[in-house]
Amino acid sequence: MTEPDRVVFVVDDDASLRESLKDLIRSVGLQVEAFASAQEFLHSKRPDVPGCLVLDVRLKGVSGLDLQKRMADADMEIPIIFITGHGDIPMTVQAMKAGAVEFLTKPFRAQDLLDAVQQALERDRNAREQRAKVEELHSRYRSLTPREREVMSLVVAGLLNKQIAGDLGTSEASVKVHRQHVMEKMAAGSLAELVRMADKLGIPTPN
Amino acid sequence: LALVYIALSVLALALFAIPLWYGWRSNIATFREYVHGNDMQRLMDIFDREGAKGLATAIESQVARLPGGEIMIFADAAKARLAGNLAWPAEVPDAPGTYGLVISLGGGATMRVVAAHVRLPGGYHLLMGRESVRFESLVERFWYGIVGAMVIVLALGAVIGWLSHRALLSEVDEISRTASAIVKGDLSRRVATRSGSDELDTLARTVNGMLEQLASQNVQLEGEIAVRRQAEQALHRAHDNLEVLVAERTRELVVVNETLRKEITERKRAEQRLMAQHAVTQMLAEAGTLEEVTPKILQTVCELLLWDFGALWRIDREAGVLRCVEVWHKESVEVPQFEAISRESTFMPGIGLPGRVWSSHKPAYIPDVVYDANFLRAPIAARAGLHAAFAFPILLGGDVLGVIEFFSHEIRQPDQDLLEMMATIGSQIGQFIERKQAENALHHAQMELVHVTRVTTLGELTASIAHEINQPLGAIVNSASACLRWLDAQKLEEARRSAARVIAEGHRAGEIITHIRALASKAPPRKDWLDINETVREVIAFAGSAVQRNGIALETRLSDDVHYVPLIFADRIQMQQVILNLIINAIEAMSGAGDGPRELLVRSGTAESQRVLVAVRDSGPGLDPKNLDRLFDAFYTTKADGLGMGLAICRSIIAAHGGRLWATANEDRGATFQFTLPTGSERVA
Repeated sequence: MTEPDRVVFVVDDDASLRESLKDLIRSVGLQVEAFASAQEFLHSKRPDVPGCLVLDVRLKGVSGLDLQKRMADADMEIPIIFITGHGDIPMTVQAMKAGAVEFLTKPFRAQDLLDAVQQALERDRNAREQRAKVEELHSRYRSLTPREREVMSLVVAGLLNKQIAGDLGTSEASVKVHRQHVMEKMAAGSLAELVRMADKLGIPTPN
Repeated sequence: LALVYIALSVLALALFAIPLWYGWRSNIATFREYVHGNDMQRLMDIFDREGAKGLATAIESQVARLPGGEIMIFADAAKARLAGNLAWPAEVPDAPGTYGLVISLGGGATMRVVAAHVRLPGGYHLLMGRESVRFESLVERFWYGIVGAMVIVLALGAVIGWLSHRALLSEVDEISRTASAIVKGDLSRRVATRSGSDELDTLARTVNGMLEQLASQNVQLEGEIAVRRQAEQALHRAHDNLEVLVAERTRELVVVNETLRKEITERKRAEQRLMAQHAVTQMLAEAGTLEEVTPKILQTVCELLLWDFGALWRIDREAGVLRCVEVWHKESVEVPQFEAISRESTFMPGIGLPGRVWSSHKPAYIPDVVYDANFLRAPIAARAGLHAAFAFPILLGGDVLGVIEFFSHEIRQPDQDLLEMMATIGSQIGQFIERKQAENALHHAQMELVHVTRVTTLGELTASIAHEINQPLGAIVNSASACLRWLDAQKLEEARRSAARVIAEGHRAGEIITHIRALASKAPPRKDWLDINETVREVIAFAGSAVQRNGIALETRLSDDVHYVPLIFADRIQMQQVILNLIINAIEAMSGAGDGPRELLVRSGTAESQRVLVAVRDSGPGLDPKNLDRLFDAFYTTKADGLGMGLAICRSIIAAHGGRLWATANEDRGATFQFTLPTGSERVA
């Protein structure tokens, strides 16, 4: 089977509800993987594609809210949609504060769940893109030589080539060459773009 | 005479035997000397000195000189002759010794010899013998001598015997003849005695003396017999007098006996009545319903007190009449018409026998119903041959509840004791009815209470029940939505699967509601064979989420692992009520407790022999040992808003099923409530 492009995970200890959720989500053409407990989900091998988690709050053993916390601790960034039979406000607030996409009370409208799923998948896709971009920048940055990194930090700090050469105790011509390499390796079209990249990379500006 | 005879016999024997003995002895001595003393020893010496050849030569030389009738043979180991006047005779036995032999000499001639056979060293045989004619003639002579002596002895014996016989018998005959005469009654005869003095003479004289004495006693005896006859006649007269007296006494006894018999009959009747009363009391004590016991009462009274027909009348309040509800008669009594009219008739107060008893509140007695003006069934009773009747009321307080009447084929006079006794039975039946009414009311109230506590318990579960119904409802909504989407996408197979799921979940929700409705219902208890594990699962189906909501880990350990559960005969709803109650108690005990694990274990199994056990174990604060006994008391509660009826009802339900419910404190923490129930013999795999 080929790797799906998106996956919805369902964790609910009620077998029939779990199956019906699976059925519902599959009916809109999404790939579903269902689990009876939090542990089962944690131990599963998940494909590295955009996904979201439909999670029952009350679970035997590790509860839904516990799972949310454990995932945060483990840097598992999957958007969560909570479903519950008897939700109360403090519980809802706790879940939403911890980053839940949606909090649905059973019996919920199917469309509400599907909307929430779509939203969550979109959110994960964006997050993943974002993370991919940052990662790309990091790898570009890692390809710079130490001297080039020094030059780059001074460039984005707004120093002129001459000043940089002075700071580094080198010639202006060589600074120019380094600067040229930096722009190429970082694939920056303009100085402004390089500055944004440096900002994303969190490169400290000397001063 | 005997001595003379013996002496003569010995003399005769000696006369013949002594010369013979001496002759025999001398012959034997001669032979011994011949064989052993001289010749044999001499020949053996020659053998020792000169060997076999020397001996053969010696013998050959001697044979020529042997007198006739003697034999001498020397032979080798194979018994071939080496020397001697004869070939080795085959008749000689192998073993050495001295024998009498008959040797054949050839040509039919034989010779009788006495021979000695010796074995010499080297296996040689030496035989010496002598013809034995002389010995034989001696033996013959000996036998002739013996026979001669015997003849002489016998002849002597005969002569002496005859003489002695003559001497003895003549006197014995005389005595025996005299004895015969005595037997015939002649006491005058005497034995003729001789003047001798031997034993027989003495005997004869004694007999004569005895006869003298007998004659004198006989005279005395005849006198005594006459006296005896007179005495007998006197006795006879006395006996006749006695018979007259005995006849008089017998007449008196017959009178006494008659009185006694009457008394016994009386007493027996009293006993019968007591027995009847006792039997009725006992039947009433053991009976479940009046309907069940009345035929038995009618039968008992009829059988013990000898009535033929009995009927029970109950008051029909609506119609204001007495109606016959039960009839009993002896199998031998056939009164179909009377029975039919009794069953069909109704009586107003004061009318007929039952009506009279109803209005008077008192027993009534009719010696013969056929001639009673106020007995409506008289013509039919007459045809059925029924005469005496009595009736008594069943009284409760001042109310008549019914009437029991009895009929007999006989005409009987009123009997006050009987009427009193029946009045007692009547009020006993009344009390029985009252008691049954009270029992029914109590039973009803108990059922109410059981139901109320059950509904209260259910009330505590509202949230849990809502959740349990919400689950399938949620599933239904999801699956139905999915179904619509599959249909839109023309995916019929998937749509069908979703629709099937909708149906299954609908059923599941329906089942939960059915269970709850059954629990809330007020149906009368109905016992059935049931699997206690199934019951536990049904309860957990709608109490499970209450457990979870309180953060309690529920573990069920049902006895499926041993592949069978004994079935119990019980009311399903009440069993669910008990298990539910125990689970809810456990939940409440733990939800009030502080931190620490919240664990609930519901366990089933078998206990003792043939008993099913269900245990609910919690990890709550446990029980105060001081209150263990009070736990199951009504209105005892440790809950703020508890009624205190739950456990009391549970215990009474289990007890009504023949089981036991009790609580124990756990060793570590929490409490265990458990109950056992008797099982049937059936088991399911």
